[in-house]
Amino acid sequence: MSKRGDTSAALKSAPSENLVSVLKKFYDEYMTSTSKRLKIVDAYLVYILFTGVIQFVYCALVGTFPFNSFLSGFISTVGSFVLAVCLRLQVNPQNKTDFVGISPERAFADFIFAHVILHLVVINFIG
Amino acid sequence: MAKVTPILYLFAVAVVGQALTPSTFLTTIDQDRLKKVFKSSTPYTDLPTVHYSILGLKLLGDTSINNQEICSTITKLVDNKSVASLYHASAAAKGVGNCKFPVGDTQKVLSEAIKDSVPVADIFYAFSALKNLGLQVDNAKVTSALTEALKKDDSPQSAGYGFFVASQLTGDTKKIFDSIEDVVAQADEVDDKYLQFEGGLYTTALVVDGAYKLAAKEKKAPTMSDDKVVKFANYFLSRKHVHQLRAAYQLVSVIKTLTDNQFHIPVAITLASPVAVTSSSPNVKVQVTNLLGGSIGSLTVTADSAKHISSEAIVLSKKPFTSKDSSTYELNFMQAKPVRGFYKIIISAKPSKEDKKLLGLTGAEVEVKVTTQVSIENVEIGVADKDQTTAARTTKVQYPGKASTVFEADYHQKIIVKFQLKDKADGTKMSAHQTFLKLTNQKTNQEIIFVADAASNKFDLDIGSSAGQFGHLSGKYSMELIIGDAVIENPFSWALGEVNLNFPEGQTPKDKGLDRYAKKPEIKHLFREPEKRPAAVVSTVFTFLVLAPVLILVLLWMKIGVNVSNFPMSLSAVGFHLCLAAIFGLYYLYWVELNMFQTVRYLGLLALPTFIFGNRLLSGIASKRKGEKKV
Amino acid sequence: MADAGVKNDIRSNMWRTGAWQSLLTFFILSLAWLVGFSSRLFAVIRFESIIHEFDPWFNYRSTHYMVEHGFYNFLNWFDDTAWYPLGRIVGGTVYPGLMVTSGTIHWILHMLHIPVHIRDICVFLAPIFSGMTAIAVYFFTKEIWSAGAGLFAACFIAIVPGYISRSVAGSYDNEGIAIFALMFTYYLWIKSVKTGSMFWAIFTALSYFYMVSAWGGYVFIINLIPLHVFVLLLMGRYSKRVYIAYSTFFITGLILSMQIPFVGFQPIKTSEHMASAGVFALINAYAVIKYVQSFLTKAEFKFFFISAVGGAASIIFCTVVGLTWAGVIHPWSGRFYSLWDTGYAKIHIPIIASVSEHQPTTWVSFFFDLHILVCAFPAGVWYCVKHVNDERVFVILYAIFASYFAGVMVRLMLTLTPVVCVLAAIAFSKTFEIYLKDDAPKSSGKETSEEPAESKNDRLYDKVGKTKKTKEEKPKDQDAMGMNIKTIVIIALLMILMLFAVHCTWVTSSAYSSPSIVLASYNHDGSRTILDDFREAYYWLRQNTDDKARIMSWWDYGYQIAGMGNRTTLVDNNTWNNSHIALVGKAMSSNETAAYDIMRQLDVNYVLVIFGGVIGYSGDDINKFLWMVRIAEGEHPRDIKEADYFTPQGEFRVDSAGSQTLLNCLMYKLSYYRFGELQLDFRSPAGYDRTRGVEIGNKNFKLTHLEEAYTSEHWLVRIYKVKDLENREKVAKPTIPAQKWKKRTSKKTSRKRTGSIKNQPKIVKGKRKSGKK
Repeated sequence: MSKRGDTSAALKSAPSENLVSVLKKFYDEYMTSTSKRLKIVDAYLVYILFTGVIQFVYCALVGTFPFNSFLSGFISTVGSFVLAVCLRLQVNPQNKTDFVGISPERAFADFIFAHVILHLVVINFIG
Repeated sequence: MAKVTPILYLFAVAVVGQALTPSTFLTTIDQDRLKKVFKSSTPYTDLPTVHYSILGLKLLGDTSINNQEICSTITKLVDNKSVASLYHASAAAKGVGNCKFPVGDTQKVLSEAIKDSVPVADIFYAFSALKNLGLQVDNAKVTSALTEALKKDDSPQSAGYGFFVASQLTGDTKKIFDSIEDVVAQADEVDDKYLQFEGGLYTTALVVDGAYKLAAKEKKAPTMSDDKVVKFANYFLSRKHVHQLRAAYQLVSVIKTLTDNQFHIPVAITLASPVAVTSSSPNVKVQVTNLLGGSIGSLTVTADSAKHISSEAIVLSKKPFTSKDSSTYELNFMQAKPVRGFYKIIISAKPSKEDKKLLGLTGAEVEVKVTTQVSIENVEIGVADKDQTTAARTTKVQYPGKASTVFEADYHQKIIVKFQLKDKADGTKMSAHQTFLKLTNQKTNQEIIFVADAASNKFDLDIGSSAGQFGHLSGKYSMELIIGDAVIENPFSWALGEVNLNFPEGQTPKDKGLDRYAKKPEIKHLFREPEKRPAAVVSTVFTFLVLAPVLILVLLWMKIGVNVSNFPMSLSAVGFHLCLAAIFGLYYLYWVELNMFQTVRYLGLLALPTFIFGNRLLSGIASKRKGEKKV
Repeated sequence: MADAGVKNDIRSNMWRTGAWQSLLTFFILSLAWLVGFSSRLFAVIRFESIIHEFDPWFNYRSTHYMVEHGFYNFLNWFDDTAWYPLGRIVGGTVYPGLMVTSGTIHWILHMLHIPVHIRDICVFLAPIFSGMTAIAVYFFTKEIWSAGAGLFAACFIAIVPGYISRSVAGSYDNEGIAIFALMFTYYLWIKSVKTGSMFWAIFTALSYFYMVSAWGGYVFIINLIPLHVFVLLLMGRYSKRVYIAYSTFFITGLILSMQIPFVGFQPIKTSEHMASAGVFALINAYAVIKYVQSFLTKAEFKFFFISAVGGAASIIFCTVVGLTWAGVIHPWSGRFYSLWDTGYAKIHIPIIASVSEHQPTTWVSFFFDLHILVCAFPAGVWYCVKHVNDERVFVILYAIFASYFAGVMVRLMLTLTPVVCVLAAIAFSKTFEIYLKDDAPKSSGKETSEEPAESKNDRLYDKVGKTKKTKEEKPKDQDAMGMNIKTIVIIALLMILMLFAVHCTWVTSSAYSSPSIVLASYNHDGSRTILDDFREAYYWLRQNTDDKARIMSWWDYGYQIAGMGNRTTLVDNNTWNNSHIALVGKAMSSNETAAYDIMRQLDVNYVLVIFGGVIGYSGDDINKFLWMVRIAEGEHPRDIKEADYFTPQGEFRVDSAGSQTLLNCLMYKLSYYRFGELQLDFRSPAGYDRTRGVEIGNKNFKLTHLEEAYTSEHWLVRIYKVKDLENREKVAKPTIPAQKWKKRTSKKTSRKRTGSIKNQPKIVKGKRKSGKK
């Protein structure tokens, strides 16, 4: 997998396409090749991403005064995002080879477990 | 400062003056004061007062006595049975003159009082009263009683009484006269200058007076050496401020005796001009008088020497005074070109015709000081850094001008004032005894005075280290330079200018001396100010904004098409979701009220069913999926 | 021990069943635990069950407090008896893991109605945890290499002196449990990298949390793991497993580590932690790119890649630089710098350099602490490099960095020790494998323990695949060697291991088992004398001084005075306030009057000094004195100058040739007060200092502001009472500036210097008539 990046750099690329077209193509590919189950997770990711963005805007505009509260909120968001990404990676059938002993259900159980731990700490920290 | 100088000078003279010759006499001022003392006791309430004040006034030549009134007072107060009372009454009456008071068997009372084994004083009272009243006296009896009494009591006071009695006795008083020498030998000498008897002024005056009275009667000089007489005289004059009536009377009496007796007349040489000798008043005047200020005839007065006290340089010797009038003599001291300072002039007088009576003619000391004008030059004021990193910027000021600029100085700088004092007379540099820099806060009028180093005539004020004296008060201060010395004619206080002092802020000015034991202010703990919280509206808006993406989630899921209907309605599924909900509910409670240990305990309780349900549910799903796959 | 493990391995080939194997494993691990535990008990057997040294006293005291007052009170504990008059917020300035651990054990035992005093738990905690460390190391090595190597490693770590030095019974210190936490975290990390499971990653984070709560050395983990990830990325070994393991571990570990009050917001504010955040950002970006890449053509991807990476990198760089510049992220702390530049501490932070633990390590101590392992260790590294895979990369990195840090600071030898054990175990295991296999070809002994792990590896990592190669190589080696050589080699190895065991026992018993508050000396006939001066003196303090009395001593003894004497101290081993320590140092190095002013300001009642001149104890205050001077000079360069305490030749000596400043400073006076009267034996003069071997230079001095209150039996501890002020208060200077009056004495009075009363008349009495004629 990692080899692909190197070879792509070595190849002579086509005349530069603009970013929009690249993104559009990316979107099209995504819509066609991703399973519904993953899309649900992706939607969840998008939701968390927006939450995180708003939190970031808040900290940039208003400030981070109860610093621990802000941190626990933000880390909760980042943590949920990361965990969801992990879930997505483990659930994705394409990655089956990487995760030998991990079934989607096991992944989901881990996901739940991680959340329980994470949010216990978050609540402890939020003050 | 100038006012202080004469006082200092007098003080110095009192200490230094070691010469034997009386340096003062009973001036008219003194006589007037004594008269006041005598008069102050009117109206009279007792006989001794009457006696002493009347006689004292008489001796001083006061004529303002109302004889009649006094006579009636005597009459009223006299007690015919008391020897002392009779003595005083009789003496006073005699002093008033032409005053008779009813006499009962006075003769008998008094005569009986004179007998063996009574004190000398009583004999003296009785005998004097008899004499005053012109009554009969039994001389032999008195003599024997007196001899007996003197044997018993040889104190100076009784000896003095004895002399008085003896001076009026007819008969052989040689023995008593001879005892004068012994009595005088009992006198205590103080400071090589005074002679006095135990018992003070009255006793001393009584003895000396009596001795001369007796000597007059015997027509023989009392056996007293000249310097003893002078020392007695010195003693009397030193006590001329006496207020006690008896002693005052006796003092006047003895001084009178010492001026008009046949044997010894002490001479007083006194300074009659101001102590300060300047170029404008160059003359030193002295008075040569007897103790009452009377002239003692023409004399030649010579200044034997004049000595500068601190350097002991002798500026003149054997310089005659010129006679001004019968008792005043004058010398132009400045002709000797003396430098400024104190001088001791030793003076001797020589009568034009030899007179053995006159005592203390040589070695009289008079102190004068030569003063001078001072000028202040090269005055520089500046402000410099404490650590000398930069050279001081100084401003020159001319006396009596004022620095035009206001100086600025803060607590790590220092104020430097340099100046030079010069003697105007000879242009030499000099230093003054007192050089001060006074800083006055223009707002509070608080004065802070610093002593300048007199030797270098330079003044360094480290502001930082003396901040306490300024009470840490920043602000404008006016500077004043104060110069003074005993030999400076023109001491001055010169406003140099103004300085703006800056002390570090926050140092509360306080009066240390007063509140050392006062309650200290309470120390209050300052909590850190909490940071400003954003407005509630902003927070609320953002809370909703943070929640808003949930909508996106729901929308997206709807768009993708979430399959909720597939939810397996088994016990484990429901239990699992309930337990999860319970765990997050527990977290909420933890946030709101529970503590860590409780939470962990409940979490442990909840975890078990969650695990079981979850395990069953998920393994169920998994097996179903696997089954599907296989099929 | 180690030999036993080997023998058991050999025997295990007779029964090739998994049950036997696990029984043996269990048996060996239990033995390792037991041996590790018992070899740490020398101190208890020789002396008694007491807490050792300095820091453990504080840990014990706070544990005691926590057990008595509860956890929350402990977290909010403001100790006003330390750092007088500042006090210390203990709850916020300790790593509470140690106290919580022993508190938990105590609680559990009491739940089970086993009444054990908390002190005994504290004394035996470190030996117990060393057993657990052995097990953690076993698992770690098993994951890295094989179960056989794991057993070796467990046996090594159980007895290696480098670890025992910090974990003997009574040495109740953070490191005792921290090494367990460290190794367990690493084990879990390796596990999670291997499986790519969130479950293990979460456990890694939890274990990391325990480590954070136990020791400041957690920074080592939070830098090593990101480094591992980073190196994996560089080596092109990125996988989704690594992503899951790291991102889950990082985000959970981040928020967990901030739960410790002492750590607080440091993980997001200091540069020491920034590497982990950077790697987190990097691996996320990398994952996104990988993901995007799977959808796009190469050309498109290239375009996308360049713009995205360029943008992201510049933003991150600017942010980090900006934040550091603005002071939001603290630059690296001094202790951290001293890791990189060994001279840094000596120049800039004398207080750090003054601790012997912070000195650079000598080669001797490497051998002393690790013995044969230090020789076998490079071989282990070589094997790992040769057969590299994801987790071996980790152990290689660990080895490299731990060696470096151990070289910089003696104290960090502790972090090196486990990895040395692991790698040496690998080396030994590998060697035995080679030489034993041939010995019994029919029942290839070593393979039994090796094979399962290796084959498991094969299953897990089809990429690595190097194990196969090694297997192919083995037969060649075997053929090349004769029977005798192999036997000799094996016997030699066994001998070496035996020597190692002997060395470990000897080192433990002789070097690391002294409680240092009870000293032992040996007489000519070999009998032992116990010098119990410290406890004697602290007990005196406890019994004879006021409850609120303030004791000034050098900071080394602060914890002991607080723990044993129960009195207020000015400074202690928690060296958080350098200027306060410098003030005490200044008092000790000033002359008595100047020191008295400082002591009045600090409200000191008693001064305690340690003096070893009578018995020849070298760790006394005079030998530490130069550090006091240096620390004082750092804060008060105008009053204290180090050069003043040396002779012109630059020597530090206390005999009559010593500098006058030294011979008159407070520390000297307190140490040697009345010592000049003491003649220890007939061969030496009175006042002969045995520690420094000289006759002291300043004898027979008096103390003005202090008085001797107590001196222990062997003069080891000397306590002085600070006298109150004289009854008469000094008259304050008048506010009128009359200072210069004195200079201007008038000439008149100056003449009369003889002292007559001014103006007193001179009286010559008149002659009294003696009698009547």
